[in-house]
Amino acid sequence: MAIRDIVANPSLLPVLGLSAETRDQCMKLLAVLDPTADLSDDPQERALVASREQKQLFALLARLRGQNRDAIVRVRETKQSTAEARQEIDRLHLQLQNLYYEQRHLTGEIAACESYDHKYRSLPLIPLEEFLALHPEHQQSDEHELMIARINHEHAEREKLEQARQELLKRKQALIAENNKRKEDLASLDQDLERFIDVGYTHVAMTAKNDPQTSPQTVSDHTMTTTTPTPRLPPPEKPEAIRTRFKVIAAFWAVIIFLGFPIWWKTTSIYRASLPVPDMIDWADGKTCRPVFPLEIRVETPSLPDVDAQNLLRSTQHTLDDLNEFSAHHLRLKLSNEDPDQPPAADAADTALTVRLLPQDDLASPRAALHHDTTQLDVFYPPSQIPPPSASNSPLSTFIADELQLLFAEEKAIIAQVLSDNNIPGAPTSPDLAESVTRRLRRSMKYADTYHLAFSLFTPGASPSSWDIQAAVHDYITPVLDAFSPISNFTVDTQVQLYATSSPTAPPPEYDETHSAWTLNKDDLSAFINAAEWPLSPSIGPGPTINFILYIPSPSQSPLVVKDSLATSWIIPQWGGVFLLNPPNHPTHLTKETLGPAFMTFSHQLLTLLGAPSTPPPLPLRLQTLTRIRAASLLLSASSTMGSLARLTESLPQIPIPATVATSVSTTLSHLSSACDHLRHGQFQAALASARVAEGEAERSFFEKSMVGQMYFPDEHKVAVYLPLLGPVGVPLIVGLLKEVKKVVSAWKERRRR
Amino acid sequence: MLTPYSGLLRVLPLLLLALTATVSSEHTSNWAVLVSTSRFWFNYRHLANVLSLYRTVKRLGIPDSQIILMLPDDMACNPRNAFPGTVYSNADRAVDLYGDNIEVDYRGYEVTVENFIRLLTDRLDEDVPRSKRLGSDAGSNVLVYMTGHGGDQFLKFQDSEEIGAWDLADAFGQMWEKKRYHELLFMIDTCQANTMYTHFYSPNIIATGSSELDQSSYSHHADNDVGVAVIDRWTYYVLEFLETQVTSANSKLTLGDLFDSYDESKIHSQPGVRWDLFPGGEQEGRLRTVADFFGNVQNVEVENVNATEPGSLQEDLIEIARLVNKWRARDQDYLARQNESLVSKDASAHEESSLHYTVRTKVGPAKMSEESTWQKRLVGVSVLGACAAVWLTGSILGGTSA
Repeated sequence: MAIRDIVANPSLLPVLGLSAETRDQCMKLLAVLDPTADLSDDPQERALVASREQKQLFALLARLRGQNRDAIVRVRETKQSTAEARQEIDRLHLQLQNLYYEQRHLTGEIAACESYDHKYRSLPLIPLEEFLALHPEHQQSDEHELMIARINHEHAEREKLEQARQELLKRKQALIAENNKRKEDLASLDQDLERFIDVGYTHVAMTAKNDPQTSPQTVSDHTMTTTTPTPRLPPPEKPEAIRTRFKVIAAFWAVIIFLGFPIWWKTTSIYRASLPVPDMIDWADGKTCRPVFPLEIRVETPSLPDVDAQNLLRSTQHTLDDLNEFSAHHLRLKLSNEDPDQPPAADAADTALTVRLLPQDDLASPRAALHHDTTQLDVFYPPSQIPPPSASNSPLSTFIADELQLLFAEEKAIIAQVLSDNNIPGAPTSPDLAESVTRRLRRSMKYADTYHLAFSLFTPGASPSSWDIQAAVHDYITPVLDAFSPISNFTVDTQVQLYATSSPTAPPPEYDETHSAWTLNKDDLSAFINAAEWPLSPSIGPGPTINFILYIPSPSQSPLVVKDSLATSWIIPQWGGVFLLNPPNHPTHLTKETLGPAFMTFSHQLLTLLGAPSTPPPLPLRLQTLTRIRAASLLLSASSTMGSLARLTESLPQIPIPATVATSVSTTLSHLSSACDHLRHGQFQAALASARVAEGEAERSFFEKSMVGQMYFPDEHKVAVYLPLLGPVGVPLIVGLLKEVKKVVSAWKERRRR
Repeated sequence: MLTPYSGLLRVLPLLLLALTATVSSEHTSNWAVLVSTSRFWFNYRHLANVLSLYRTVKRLGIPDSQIILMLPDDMACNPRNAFPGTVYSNADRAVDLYGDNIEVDYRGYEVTVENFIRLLTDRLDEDVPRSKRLGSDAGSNVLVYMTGHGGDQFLKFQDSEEIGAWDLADAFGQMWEKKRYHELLFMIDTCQANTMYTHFYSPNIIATGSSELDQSSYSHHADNDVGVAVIDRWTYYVLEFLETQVTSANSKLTLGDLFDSYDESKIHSQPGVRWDLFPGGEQEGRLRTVADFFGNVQNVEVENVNATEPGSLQEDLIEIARLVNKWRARDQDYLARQNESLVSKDASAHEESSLHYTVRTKVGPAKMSEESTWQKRLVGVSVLGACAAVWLTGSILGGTSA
């Protein structure tokens, strides 16, 4: 009925039928099983029937299920196909939509293009008829070309008009400029007029006094001319305001000039004590003092009458003067037996040498002998050689002169060398002597007030570990130091260094069969001292250190000597000396006697290092010579330091010079001149003392601690420092000052004109 | 017979002239001033530069007492150093530059421009030890090596101040005035290094630098374990030359050879050399041996025992023996007189007094100032009183006017 009406699909009809059938079967089964039904029937039969009916129902149900499954499958299939179809439709729809949009866009574009409002349409062109009248050749052309032609024509016309406009504009500008100029002229005319009026007024006032009748007329005339319109001016300044301004500006400038400027000057200036620069330069150039060395030699003639002695002296002096080529260094003979008891005068010269003339009978020619521990030269002569009073020359005087000349030859060479090192011409000396002198000078230490002597015992092994150093120094070194005490001071340090190995780069000693000794090559000696590891640090106090090294080779390398010369000691110039000590049977303690040769050698090295000359042999004479040499070199070095200081202060304007330097300089200069005087008078000890003071003061003044110049400031740096500070302050001040000055000057001129 | 003699006579002056010429060009000692001017860990290489050069000059024989080493920082003990106690200038870390024997004369904040100038001009306090002084004289060859960060005509010190080329030139000028050097080799490794020696004016200076104006000097390589660059290029190649070619102080290689070894493609900057201050210019300067500046001259004089010329060892020994004997006699004489006059005294006292040299004794602590503290207190009280009076009068006057 109702269902059949709704379901019209043929494929569903069997399902429908089958379901109806099933329902009937169910009804049938229900009827069978109906308990209310007739109970008469055999229950067994009824059960049989029921089961048969049930079977049928099951079969039907199975078929129905099959139908149901089929239906479901078909539904699925249908859904699938529906989805596919739908997709297709969507795609097509989208395409359609796109096309539609495209179409709409295109129509829009077309519409925009069609409705585009070009400039030429709004151009106010000349009417077509007029154009055609002007250009009849366009009569036949179509509308487009006509329009182009019209536009071109319009363009040309407009350009022409623009040009015309520009020209007019230029003319206008010129006219305006001219106008302005005229205006200015007029304004100045106004001023002129005012001035004229002022003058006129005074004139009128003067004339009015003289002629009161005519004055009203003139005055009215002038008032008429001044009524021309003028720009409004600020009210004139009151005189007290002007005065106040002047005062303010003056006050500012007063502060700047009387307070600011002095403070700036004071705080930025460098204190430079005034030094006697020309004097210092003169000393350095050797203009103030030419060192001279007049050596006084006393001649003792115990066995000669006075007259003969005088005569001999004179002739010897003559010969000496003839022999001498070096004027700065000369020998003066003096007879000593004038008055031995009288104390020497204060300015008496030191006696460099005493010559004692002794007659000896068995001599053919004179003979000279030097005392070893005094400064005395004994000359033995045969009495027959006393020169007769008339003779100007005699073999004896020649002999004495030669002898003296020889004694002082090296000293002369050294002094000449020292002088020529400081550009003072010395005497020509024989070249080989000069060479040996320069070598000695180069070897010797620079002069110092105090020298430190450092005696070091180095050994590569553990022994010897002690030495009798105090006694050794006392016995062998102190005599020399005592002799040197007028020249320098000395301090003594000692040390023992065990296990002191030589440096790994130094070549080891080689065994020499012929001398059965280990030898060091002479060229390798400079590497002998292991500077990197041996503690030979300089001492702390002022003054240089002279090192003396006593090296005890290890027993396996003993004896150790220098190759070829078999020497056991050498000098290291300006540094010290080395001695290789090879003690027999390797003791652990070195006694004074063992140390003897080493310390004697050290004394000799000390002499050399301190610059003592090699001749003449007696030590007192050599020390005297050294005194003179040191005096000369100290004098010259202090002078040259003065020159350096003078040049330095002139070349470095930024370096401060404290007052202590000035006092040091004056002390130096006074001691220099006193040293020079002492030299001239032959008082060499005093000269050396003065020269030592001078040298010390000169060094102190040159190496003054506070004399380290300011850091260099280029001028542009100074500008960079000052400009930001002073610029903003300075401009208004200077401008104000200028204005005031201008005003004052103009007022002054005004007054003068009147 | 006569002709060879006169020929010799004619030759002799020439010979002597040549001899004196060589004599005048000789020097007697060597000094080295090695300066690094920058601090902080990232400037490790500057200290390594200086230490490498220190090692080289020491190897060539200049003793520590004649080397002034200025190190502004202690890289060996820097907490960032992965190898504590060592400084290396090469990534292979073969040579520990710090070693166990190094003497730093100026360290830390002592390395300042002022101290450097004072060192060169010797304007130092009297109590400055000799190891911190440049004790050179007219016969000394001085090597000055500087490295750090610099620019056009200046070199920074410790990131806080600069030394200008003018200051340096003036310092050398003063050294020359006071005869503090015979010849001077100036080496500088910094950016725009060659500008630093443009203002020098004193003679006998050879100057060389690593780079020209507007050029940087670059580091050579970094050690990844140390973490920073360990050496600069120019120094590296200078050292390479010194270490591989100058094997001993007797080496005959010249400065010309050293400067010819500069290879701009390796150094990455143009090193410069200035010869014009040197007498004889480049020609003469190139002949100076490297050891003249980097090595130590020691012309030792062996004393021949057998020589008998005046001034020789033997002669002197005789003289000294005489002097010693005389001294001993005087001593005994003195002792005898002492004994006579002072019999009561101890023998030990005699012995003591017989020693004529003074034995240095230790000095105890001393009071530094002699001025009285009361004086200072009085001054302080009066100043305070004056201040109080000024304040009081001011407040009174201000009160009345208001």
